[in-house]
Amino acid sequence: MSQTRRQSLYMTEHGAAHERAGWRVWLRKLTPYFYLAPALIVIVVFVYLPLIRTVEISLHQGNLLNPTRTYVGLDNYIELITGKLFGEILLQSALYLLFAVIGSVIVPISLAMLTLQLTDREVDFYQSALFLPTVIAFNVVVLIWAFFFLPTTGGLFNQILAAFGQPPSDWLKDPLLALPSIALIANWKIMGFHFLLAIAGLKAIPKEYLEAAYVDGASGWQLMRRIILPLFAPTGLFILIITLIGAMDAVFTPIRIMTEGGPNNATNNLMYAIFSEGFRFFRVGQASALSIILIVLFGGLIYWQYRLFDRNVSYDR
Amino acid sequence: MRKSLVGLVLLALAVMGFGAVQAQDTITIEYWNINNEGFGGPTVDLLVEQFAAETGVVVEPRVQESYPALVQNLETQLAGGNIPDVVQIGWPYVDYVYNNLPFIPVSELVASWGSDEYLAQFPENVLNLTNVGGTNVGMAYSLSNPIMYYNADMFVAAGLDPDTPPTTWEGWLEIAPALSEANGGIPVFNFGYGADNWIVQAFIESNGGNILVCENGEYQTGVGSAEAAAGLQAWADVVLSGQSLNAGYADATPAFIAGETVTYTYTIAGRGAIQSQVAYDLRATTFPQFGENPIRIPGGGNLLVVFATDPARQEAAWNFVQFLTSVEGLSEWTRGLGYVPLYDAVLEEEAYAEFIADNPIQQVGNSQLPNMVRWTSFPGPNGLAAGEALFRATQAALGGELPAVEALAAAAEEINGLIAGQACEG
Repeated sequence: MSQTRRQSLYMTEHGAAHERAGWRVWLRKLTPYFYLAPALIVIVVFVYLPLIRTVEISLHQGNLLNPTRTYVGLDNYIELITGKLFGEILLQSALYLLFAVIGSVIVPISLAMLTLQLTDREVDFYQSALFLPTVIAFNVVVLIWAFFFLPTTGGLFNQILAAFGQPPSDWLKDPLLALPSIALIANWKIMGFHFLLAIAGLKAIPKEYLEAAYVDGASGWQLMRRIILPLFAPTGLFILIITLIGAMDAVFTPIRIMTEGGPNNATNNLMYAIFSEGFRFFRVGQASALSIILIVLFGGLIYWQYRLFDRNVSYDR
Repeated sequence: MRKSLVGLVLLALAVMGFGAVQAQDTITIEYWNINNEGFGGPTVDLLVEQFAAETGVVVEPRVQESYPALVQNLETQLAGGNIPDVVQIGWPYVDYVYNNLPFIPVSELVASWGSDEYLAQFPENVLNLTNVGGTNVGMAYSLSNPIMYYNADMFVAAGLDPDTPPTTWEGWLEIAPALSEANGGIPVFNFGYGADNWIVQAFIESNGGNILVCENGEYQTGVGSAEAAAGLQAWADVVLSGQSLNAGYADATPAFIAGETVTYTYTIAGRGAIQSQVAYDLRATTFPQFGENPIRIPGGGNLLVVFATDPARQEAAWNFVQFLTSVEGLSEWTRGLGYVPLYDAVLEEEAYAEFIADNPIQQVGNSQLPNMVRWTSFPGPNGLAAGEALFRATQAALGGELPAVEALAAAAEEINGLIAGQACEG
């Protein structure tokens, strides 16, 4: 075999080997993406594409059925933001979030803290009792509460008022009472689940820390402030975040069935306003614009909240 | 043995084939309506059975929560390519359907499947109810009006004659304190309402106001007028003084049935359901007159609209509409629920004539036919949002947030902005 022929053969074999190695490198680099592909495809198809479509629709005017929509630029956004109802809806959304934080974060965590004094058997009882509403279908919950809120003397709350010599109240038609009443229903439904999360968070705190501090002479308040609260903070943050994300979703069913956003907008919020614009008034452009505003506002709120707590919450145990 | 086996298999296949051919031949159509078990459901089932027995067409009723919910679901189903065949559309949505949904006009149905004679039996004003821009969107079916049901036993308890209830608003206000006092202090009035403007239109128009007016070739709302404010304020006054329950239908109806209010102003279409549930002497009278103004009450109910596009289903759907609006169909319908008859031939039908003679409450509903006006819907793509603006003003006045005059002035401004540019004739 001539030198030239040998060199050529070497080059060919080497080239092929090099090429094979190149493919292997590429394959190695691509492998994680293959694993990620199913999840990515699902997210792109069901989250990002609809999001892009929502942005597109928010720049048009039309309804669900008419294929020809008119491009209106930012008019839908401007009309919403400058409209007199937008401020009211924002304020009510904020008020509702406040009620949600009280009823679905502070109350269940406080109740869970109180159970620290109880035996395991007693904790189990409270856990079951408070968790029960969570497993009842929301429309059934609403029917139960509709009876409580009946505006006549037959309603449960009005019977309680009557027992104290007070006249009956229009719980869901009174503009001052309607929002707290609706918030109460949603909180009652969610509270048990959050109570369960809080109990789990408290149970995860190592007893040795508490015992050591107790032996060192720490008072009850010091135990709470220096040991329990810092170690419970990640669970508390989690409960707060899921409350803020899900609060308006949770109150949607009671609003839809009981008040339709009334009286005079008193129980309306951003989530229900999107539904109203899209499916009651059939103005999908405005509904989409409101959806984008909701995403931006909540995205900002969650980011701010996460940054704020991230500095103060320790995830080490 | 083998021959018998082959024979059996062939027989089985033949039976299956025959069954399949039969199944293919049976036409099934969907009928969307709002008639739940407590509001005409059994009558719908009866009519569907009768139609199936006559024609062999299977009708599947699909019950929706309310007219607004029906239109919401209809729009989403149509957007998804699922077309119901016959749909009850509430009167305030006629314009919306005309402008936005792919309905089959009556003229097209008649051209395809005939029945000019059928149309001839309807009076022109009834046919006009479904006419938008010269097109009949569907066939008028259910026509109702608000009447005042009252508990005669409570009149007797107050020492009043239940045979001569007041006919004017002033008359009712005069006896209200005595009625309440004699019956444990309960509210006398109860004007049930849904998330719409049906009852408030009755108050506004019976006080001389108008929901919609035509000025300089464009639609404007008339709710900013003094007459309209007087109408709403009359309602708000009795609510705020505790003389009236302020409740939606879901609470208002059971409250009256349970004897927690003396009267209940509600649709005549609810007559059957209320009559079957009360345990006291139930009577009814007309919607009250305000001063010297004529009573003007909006017609409630629905029209039947065909959406079916498949020729066989469309023909079956049109036949079903004709069956429902035939003399026998309407007689069954009005006796079962309480809607007022659409044409004279129904009044003369034997079963209906017997029924009406024994049912003075139905006579009240029928007697209000001359007082009925069209249930106004606001025009244009923002029409439904404009309707919501009026509803919010009503709630603001009833809740005591604003006097009616201020609430309606703000609503008028908002509504006129939403319906700006909608042309009218007159």
